[in-house]
Amino acid sequence: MRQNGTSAAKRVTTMGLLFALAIVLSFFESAIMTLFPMLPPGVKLGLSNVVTMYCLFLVGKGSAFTLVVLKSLFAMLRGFISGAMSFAGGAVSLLVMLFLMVLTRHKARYLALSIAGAVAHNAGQIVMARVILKNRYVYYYFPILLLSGLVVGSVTGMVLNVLMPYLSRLPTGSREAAKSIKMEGNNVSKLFRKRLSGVAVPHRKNTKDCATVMMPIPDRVVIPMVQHMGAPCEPLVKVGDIVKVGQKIGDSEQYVSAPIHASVSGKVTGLVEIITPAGAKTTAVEIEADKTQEPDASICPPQINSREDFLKAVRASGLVGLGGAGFPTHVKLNPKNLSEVDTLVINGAECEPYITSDYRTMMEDTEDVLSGVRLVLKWLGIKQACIGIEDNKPDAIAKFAKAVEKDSNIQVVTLKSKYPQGAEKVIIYETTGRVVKEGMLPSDVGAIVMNITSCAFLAKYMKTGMPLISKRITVDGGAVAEPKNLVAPIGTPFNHIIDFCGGYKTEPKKLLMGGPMMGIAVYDDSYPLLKNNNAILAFDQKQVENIFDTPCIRCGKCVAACPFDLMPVAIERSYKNNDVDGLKALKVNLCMECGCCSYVCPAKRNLVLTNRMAKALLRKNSK
Amino acid sequence: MNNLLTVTPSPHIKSGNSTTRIMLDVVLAMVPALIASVIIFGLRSLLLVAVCVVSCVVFEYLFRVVTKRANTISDLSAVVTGMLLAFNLPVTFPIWMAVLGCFVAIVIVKQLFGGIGQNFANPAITARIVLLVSFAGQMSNWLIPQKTAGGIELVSGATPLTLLAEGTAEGIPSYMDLFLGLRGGCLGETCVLALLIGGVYLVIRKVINPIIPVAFMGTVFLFSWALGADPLMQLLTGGVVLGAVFMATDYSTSPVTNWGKLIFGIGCGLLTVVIRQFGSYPEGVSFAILLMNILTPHIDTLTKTKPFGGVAK
Repeated sequence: MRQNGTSAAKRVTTMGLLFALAIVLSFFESAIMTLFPMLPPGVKLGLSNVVTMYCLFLVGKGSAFTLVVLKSLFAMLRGFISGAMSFAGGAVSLLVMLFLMVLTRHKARYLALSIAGAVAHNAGQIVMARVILKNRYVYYYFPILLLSGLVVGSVTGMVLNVLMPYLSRLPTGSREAAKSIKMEGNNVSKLFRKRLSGVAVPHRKNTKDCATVMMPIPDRVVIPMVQHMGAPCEPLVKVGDIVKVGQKIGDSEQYVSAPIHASVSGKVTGLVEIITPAGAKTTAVEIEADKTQEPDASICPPQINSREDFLKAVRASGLVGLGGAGFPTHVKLNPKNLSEVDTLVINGAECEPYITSDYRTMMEDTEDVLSGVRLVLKWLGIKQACIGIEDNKPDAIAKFAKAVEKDSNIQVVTLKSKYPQGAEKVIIYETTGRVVKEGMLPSDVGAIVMNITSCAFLAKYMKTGMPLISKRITVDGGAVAEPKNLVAPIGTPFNHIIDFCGGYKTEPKKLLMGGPMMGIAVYDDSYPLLKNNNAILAFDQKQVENIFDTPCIRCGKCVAACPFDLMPVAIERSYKNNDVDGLKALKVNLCMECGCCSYVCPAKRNLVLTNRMAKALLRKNSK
Repeated sequence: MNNLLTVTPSPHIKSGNSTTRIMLDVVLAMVPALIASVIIFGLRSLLLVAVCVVSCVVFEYLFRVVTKRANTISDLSAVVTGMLLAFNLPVTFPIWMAVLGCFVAIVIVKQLFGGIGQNFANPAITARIVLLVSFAGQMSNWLIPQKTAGGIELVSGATPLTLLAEGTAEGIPSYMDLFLGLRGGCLGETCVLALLIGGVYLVIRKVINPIIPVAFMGTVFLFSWALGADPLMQLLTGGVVLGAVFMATDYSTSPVTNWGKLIFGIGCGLLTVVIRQFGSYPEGVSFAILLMNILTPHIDTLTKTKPFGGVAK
């Protein structure tokens, strides 16, 4: 069962309650109407429509439509014509209200929506009556029903205006819907803006409440010279050198790169060759730890007096995107059009299953995160910051909302828990509404995205001067005895970390570096921990799906799931036909390989792999 | 570490979806209509359905064995085709002709073109059309259920749609009778209530997108009303609901995007009404669906999604 904002059980009970309420109200009002026999037939108080409107504004469009269908089915018990009339009235009323909300960009007032809904309800019923009774003369009844619709609609609209502040606090409504409704003008803005697709993956945040523990220093570490996007570093030490904690052991002359530092103190015992997760070969510095952890003499808090000082310090800290991408931060914070950047988006989404390390950073290092945010805002001259957090972390949202109360330029935005909410282009769109077009960078739309842990690290570095030498990660999976969150030195081999977590409780069949959606499967558990790792997952036999793909049934679920509206079903066909022009037209280069398409495919086809091969085909043909 | 680790490309978790599960959901959705057909038309309907299902599965199995390909009967799509084909036959249909229809559906329309996902038209619909054209008499040998004191009695007669096409007003059942299926017609098309229940189940299980059925039925309603016919009657008679919910929504023969599905549904509705009102056949659903199936690749080309942030070159 999903653990999203509203569980299936909650939704079913909500619908049941609302349905029952609507029926009771309609019985109640038919009883009342018998007190007024002088009123023309068909004139109703529309009390049960209040329930439908509550559903539309605060629960969801699908639920509102379900309510209309349920009411019609119930009315059908009195006869087919009753059911048809109820459906016609309810459906037309709902459609008209939805249309108005979209047309006025969700700024329509409750009163207007209510009147429009009531009139539309009566109009729909008159049309259905015309069809069933085959009598054109029913149209003459319209002015009376128009008048009654206006009156009834006004009354229900006023009732809604009074009740809405209380209704929006009911647990039956979605949290986000309640937040987006302002009392004056009832602006239901973000509720209906085009939502990017995605998939609702299981959360499995088993280690959510595991406080971070420090791992003891391992006997040896292996530190590769490339742990970031960009040029690899050259090792600055040789075999036999004594190194101290935080000492720079690798650097590069290239701009897009970041220095690498020793995470333990000890002796360099080798310069070995290692294969990076991307598949390239690089050098790694092997250090035998002397367990004293003596810091390097040059470690001291940096002096920042200008933006250049700040960016130099960011580079010297070795900071790369700690969300997983590993892009050198000093390059990201220095775009050519920095003066046009007005929003810093802080990525606290953590949309992958299992991983809770960012969440622990949010709960344990809250002040560090905010210091880091304020530093970036100050030194880069950015106007405002948005911290985006998924709604499956309500404590973190509450904690941050309280902590930024006094900061007028920082706000917390609640994101719907959907994968891949944490992807760069997706989070920019969901928090600011801006679209990063093909070939553009986030800075081109005036935004820069930083991971929440990167901000916390930045603050710590400015306080202490100690560069990036350890990482907080989540260790989880069916094969691990004691899943937990821990901080380990960079370069610690995986097997050492898993031993600290109680070792394997069953035979591991798959070892993942990162989350299950975009993580990389590792071939050996002696692989070292890298800067941009967030998790180590050890899957047992049950969790490894050895599923063979079956033919594509053209169901189109991949198209519906893709957050970027690509068509994997068509990409697969074009790739098989070596159709380069077709692939270009399908924009496969926009694919971020998030895995949503492969996740939903009922035929278990590996669509992400096909997309990657298609991209390779395009690259080959563009030379 | 001495055991080998599995190394595969991401993603490493998948949803519980599978083709078999989807087909199973479709079979479950057809069960209410099956129960209704047994109540209305008697046990021979169950026999027809069983024969069709078994023949379809056997034909698919044999074809895959003869052509030395992997066997696909476990994905249950042959079962679905068998049930749908049976739902398109009158209860008096001879068994051997039904088996022939299954052969056409599975071997000719589906397997010869590449199997599941590759058929150019809905197998059940195409087989029904072939049977209609080849055995017109047997395909129109209807039994009309009449409510008697002892239950339901079957007498031969004309379906309401045929009566409407002839212009007679007598003998057409009431709306409620039409809705519940107490009328002449094919096995699966009569009980609209059962079909709608199945349709709602499929929408809830996210097996079908409601756009096609709603667009199809909505267009039939509006267009026949515009032409002066009784729209509710047009919706409740004939095979519109069966076709809209179960046959037009077949994955491989309908467009993949929402706009494509809308165009497809509207097209089916328009063609159905045109054939019913201006053509010589009383029923137009099967031909409408077949023609739109053939247009589907073109609809797909016209309704490609717009990639998020994509820039037209």
